[in-house]
Amino acid sequence: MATDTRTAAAVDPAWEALARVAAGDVEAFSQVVEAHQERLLHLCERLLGDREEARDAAQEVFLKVFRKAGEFRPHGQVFTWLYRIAVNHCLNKLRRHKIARFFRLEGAAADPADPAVPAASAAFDPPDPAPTAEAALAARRRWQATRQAIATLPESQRTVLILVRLEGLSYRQAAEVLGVTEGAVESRLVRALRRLSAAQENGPSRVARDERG
Amino acid sequence: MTPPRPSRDIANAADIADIERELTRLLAGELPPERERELRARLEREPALAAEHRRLERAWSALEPGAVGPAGEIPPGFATRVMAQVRAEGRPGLSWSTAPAWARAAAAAALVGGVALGAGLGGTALNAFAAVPSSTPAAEEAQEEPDASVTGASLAESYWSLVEDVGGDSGSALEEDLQEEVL
Repeated sequence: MATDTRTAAAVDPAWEALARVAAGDVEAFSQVVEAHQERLLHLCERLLGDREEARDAAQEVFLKVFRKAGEFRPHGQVFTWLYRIAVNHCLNKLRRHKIARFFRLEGAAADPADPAVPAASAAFDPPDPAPTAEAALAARRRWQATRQAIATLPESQRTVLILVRLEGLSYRQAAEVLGVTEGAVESRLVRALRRLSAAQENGPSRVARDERG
Repeated sequence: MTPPRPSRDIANAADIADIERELTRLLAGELPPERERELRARLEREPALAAEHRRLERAWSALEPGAVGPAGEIPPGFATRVMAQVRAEGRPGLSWSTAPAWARAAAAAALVGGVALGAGLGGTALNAFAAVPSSTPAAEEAQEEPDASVTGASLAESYWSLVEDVGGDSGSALEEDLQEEVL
């Protein structure tokens, strides 16, 4: 089994650090933290939609990883294992607190017409303004519709969207993180895109209606 | 909001779900190069398919990395705080009985290696003083054969027991101290 660690360490050196942690070398864990803190913080922030909450969550995730160091099985990349723990942790956190704010716009008020639309936040900013006022307005409407659609996506679709589109994971990596098949990742992503696309097409009239109201 | 389905005239007898999957794979960069070339060629030939592609691409582009605000900076001292908590825990929740086989093997090998190295160095040192007629009780003790009943596994088990004993009290006390400090 030590060979497993060596083989895996050739793929990702962090496995070796985790093996040392598992053998009692607490300080070796700092290598894992240093190497993965940025990615883990970003993931938690995108999943939770709250920077402060993400910091707490990332810290808790690292502690979980530390506690589980003796249970890991070296395989593939360390970050997929970390992501798996982080995704489960954040989703559980969201479920526990019934938080519906995955994404938010900085400075934007929650949409009173739609309780699913999150309140102000900085986790997911709008696109750059388009060159003309008309185009900017259209882009803004599309963006608002997209944001609303993201907020109302089922948890499984939203998570896949975050992992594949925002975190840049391959289908295979996302499948590893979520413990599902690549086919499941693919179909969730397709359904999520279909909904976003529909929201973009139906959005402007709704946004206009809201603005009139 | 009912998600629209792709137009039925996209492809003759083609499975619409397959088309959507293929187009999504194209956007995600998940198509093999040869398949991508084929699909792009079809997109030029089939307007309905191209329209479907544009529709999905618009949704995909709405989530461009440029559209997603930069995630927050790493909070100052984040790693330090994590490590303080980690140190407060003392060691991972691993006992000899629950440790994976590889960890037990590695720990046992390290201990046996350490004992062997220690014995070897000790022996060398003692040989260097072999000419000295008198010997101290400590040297006599060191010259004794190691206990044959002590195996790598039992040494390792003793090691984990010791670590558990040491980790328990000092770990929790340290945790309380650090929590106070952090708070």
